[in-house]
Amino acid sequence: MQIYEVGQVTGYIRQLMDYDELLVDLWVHGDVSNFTRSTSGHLYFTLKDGQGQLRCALFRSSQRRLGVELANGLSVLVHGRVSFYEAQGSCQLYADAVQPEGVGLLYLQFEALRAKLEAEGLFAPERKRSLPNYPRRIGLVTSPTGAVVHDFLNIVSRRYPLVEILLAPSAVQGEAAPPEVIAALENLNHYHLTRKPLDLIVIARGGGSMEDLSAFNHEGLARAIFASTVPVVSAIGHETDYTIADYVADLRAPTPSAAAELVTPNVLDCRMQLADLRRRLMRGMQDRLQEGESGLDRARTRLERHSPAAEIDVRRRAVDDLIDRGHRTLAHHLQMTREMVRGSGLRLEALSPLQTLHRGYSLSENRTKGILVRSYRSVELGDLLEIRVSDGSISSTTTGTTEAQDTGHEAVEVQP
Amino acid sequence: MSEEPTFEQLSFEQAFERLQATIQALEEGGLTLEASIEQFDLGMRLANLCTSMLDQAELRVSRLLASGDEIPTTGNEL
Repeated sequence: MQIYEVGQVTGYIRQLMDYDELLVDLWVHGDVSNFTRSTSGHLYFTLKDGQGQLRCALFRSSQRRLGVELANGLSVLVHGRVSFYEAQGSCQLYADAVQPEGVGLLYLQFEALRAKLEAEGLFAPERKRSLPNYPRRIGLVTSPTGAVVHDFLNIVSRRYPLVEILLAPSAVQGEAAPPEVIAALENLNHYHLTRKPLDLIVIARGGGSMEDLSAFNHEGLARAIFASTVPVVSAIGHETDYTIADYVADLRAPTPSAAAELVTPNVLDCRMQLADLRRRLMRGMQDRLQEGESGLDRARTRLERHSPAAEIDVRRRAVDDLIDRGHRTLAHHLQMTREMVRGSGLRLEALSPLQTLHRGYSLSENRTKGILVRSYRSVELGDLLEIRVSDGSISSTTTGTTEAQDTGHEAVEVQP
Repeated sequence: MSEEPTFEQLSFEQAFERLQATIQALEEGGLTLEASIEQFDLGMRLANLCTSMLDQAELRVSRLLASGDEIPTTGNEL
């Protein structure tokens, strides 16, 4: 008989439990007791009913899927796996979802599928693709009859008629729906790859009961959406309805009408933006022109600074200065000359004939004719002469004239 | 695949994006006056193209057959 260490036994038990298909994925119904929250944020409680109890741990990382506020005495459904906690030697339910009691099987299936696909990364936020602002071609998967397709087309036509809609008809209810929607998705993707590119695909279905919408909680459909090359927008049921398709889709629209608005810009907004762009275009051009103009002004100023006109101005001013100086010099000279002339007058006086008379010369004036006598010819017989000498004058009458022999002039005979 | 589309072949989005790029080039400056005028002229043509696309647009709907072919339809025929 072999002897085992405790750890070997507990390890073996744990291995057994971890390989058990039932224990790794199950829903358990029971009442909450011994509920505690650890300082690290993990929740611990015991799930029990009249026959037994089970320790449960809900780690912090799983608590976003806590569908109910836990409290002692609360009757709940817990999903998770049962394993052996070797350190305490006890079984433990490692919970990853808690729902209030009373939800149906459909819901549990939904939750299970959601948990599975989420774990696979089908809902990963980083996988969500963005949609173009101005789509050219939209694939539409919906029933070709009914209000949904009409509403959708009406809204798109009103908002953004530039787009092209490619309708891939499909049943959207009942057992036929999942395979038909999958086929439509594949068909559209094929078209996208071989014909003309599609910007996005909308899967639309109007409101209905949870059973009606269950076609969109289909695993195969979820995987088809995930596999779509073209981004997918889900628009299923009413605002409060969530389907697996909504989680996988790149964008969830609350309703088909909302989808039509979400995937298209509004033509009125486009026009307003265009008007704004036109204004910016005009302003941009005006600014460039203004820049050019002020550049031109600057160049003109610089050019003027180097223009000959300035040089000419400088020279003109020099010439003016010279002229001024000329005037001033001339005036000065005139003044000088005037003063010199005045001085000369004084000297002239010294040269006056009176001085000569003093020396014995006389000056004769023909009183009859009123002229100074310079020549005997200016005197006729009988003319009265006034002969001035230094100290007076002698009045005489002409009695004859004689030309001087040596000079060829006649001497004047004067009779006092 | 992306062969440069001619001016008339531009989609609304392409024309709109080019218009924005044109304006940005103009607003950033650094262009010669002549190049600015070219950008402005291109911008005006793009803006007019966008406007006429909006004016003339009419929603086109076709139906995709399982065969992969499409047949044009109007919303009323559905």
